[in-house]
Amino acid sequence: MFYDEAMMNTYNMVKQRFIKKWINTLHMLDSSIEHPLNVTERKNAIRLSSDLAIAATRSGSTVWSRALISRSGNKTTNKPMARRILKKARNRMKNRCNTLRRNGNFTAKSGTRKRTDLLKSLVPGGEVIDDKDYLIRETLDYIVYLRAQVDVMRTVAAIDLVTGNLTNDRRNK
Amino acid sequence: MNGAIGGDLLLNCTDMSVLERQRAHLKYFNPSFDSPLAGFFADSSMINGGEMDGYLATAGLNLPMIYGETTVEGDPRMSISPETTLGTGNFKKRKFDTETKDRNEKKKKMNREEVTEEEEEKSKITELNNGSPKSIKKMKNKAKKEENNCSNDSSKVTKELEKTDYIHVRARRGQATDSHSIAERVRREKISERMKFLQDLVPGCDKITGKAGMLDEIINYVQSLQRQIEFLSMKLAVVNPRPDFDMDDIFDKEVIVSTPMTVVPSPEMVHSGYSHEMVNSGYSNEMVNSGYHHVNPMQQAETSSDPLSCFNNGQAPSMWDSYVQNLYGSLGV
Repeated sequence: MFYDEAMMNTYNMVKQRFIKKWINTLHMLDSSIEHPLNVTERKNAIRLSSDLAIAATRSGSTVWSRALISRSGNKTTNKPMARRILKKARNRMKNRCNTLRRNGNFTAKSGTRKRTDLLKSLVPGGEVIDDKDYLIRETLDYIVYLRAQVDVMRTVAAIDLVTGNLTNDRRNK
Repeated sequence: MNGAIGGDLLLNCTDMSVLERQRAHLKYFNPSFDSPLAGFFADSSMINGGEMDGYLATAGLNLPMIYGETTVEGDPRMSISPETTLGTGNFKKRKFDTETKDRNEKKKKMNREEVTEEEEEKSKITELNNGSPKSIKKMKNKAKKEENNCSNDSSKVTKELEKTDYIHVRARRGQATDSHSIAERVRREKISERMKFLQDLVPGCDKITGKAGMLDEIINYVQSLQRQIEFLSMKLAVVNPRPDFDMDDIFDKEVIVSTPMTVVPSPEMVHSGYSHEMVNSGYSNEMVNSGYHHVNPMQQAETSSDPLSCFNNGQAPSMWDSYVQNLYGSLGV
């Protein structure tokens, strides 16, 4: 995916930051919800923590990271935790622009209109972006971080599978 | 890809698009942007304590030019809110003016037109020499031949662009010189550049041209990534009794960086099981392949089962960093 080694290094750094934040969010989430949970609830908790972590990793001025944080914050029953994460991310945003709604005079062709709307629904926070140019930028950024999230989760899942087998082997001996 | 653009700064001025010329100016001034993907992720050493808040730039060359925010925290602010950035007097913004001037999306308010008159250039230089930060001015441009322009501004571009917030764009011969159309053209070129980058980012997009098809691919890719995340979180939930258990599990299984890697006997099961699941869930081939590919480094990172049992849990926090570094070092190779 990345043809440059320097890029790959920064990409790995992103993944490292993500995994550390993910651990934090997992612990935070774990302390705030009751056990036991069924599989679906566990999955939702993991997904929620992962989304929060990737958004916090970005925690820049992107629309999608902020939208993801606020969207995930509504899902958690534990409001203080959500506020803590939001505060951490918000500290870095400072006086980011609020004028996301920029009315463009751009006439969208009908072929791309539907697709643009679909893309807006996919990218968190895309609905508030009127400027197609800016939407594509956000999508770009979002794709990279999404990709990092997927890579990390896949790796963790693979480790879990392997170590799970090892644990079982040890127990069975 | 876009390699030719950066290199031919002063040579081929005739057919450069508006956007390319902007980039050429910037490149001349700051050769660091020549390196591909230089500003992709903010260079963490340059901003506050390693925070990578720099806005993402497109892959390939000249991408920092497109997005404008390379390393500065203030940069994204600039691009997002044209109204507020200009007069803010943000120190960081001024420091990185050269990098950011091309990135602004102030289409409505500003016209980027090249300074063609020598008097104007000289006056700019004088102003620059005074050392005062420039206020924003609009400069109208008349259509001229490219050759004159190239010879004039090659040496003066650097000084001229040091403190200005505008990139000045030359209208090509025969094209409209209306300020709006020039700005419109810049915007269109930026969009096309970004589409090209998206082509690199989204796998399997080389053949597709046209906005609609590209958007389709992007949408598919985003959807597939989101579905992968859903699937992976379900997978993690199945394996672990508690949400944070999986991380503790990782802590327990230590990875020794220096010891020779032994292949764990179970990776075959992991491979086949993983790929199998992915295929069954109806994911694209790309995902299966990349999933497969990613599992591969993992088997090198895992030691065999016996040494794992003797690791001390208490050492986990200190070994975590080396574990993570090893993990992503192997992934990055």
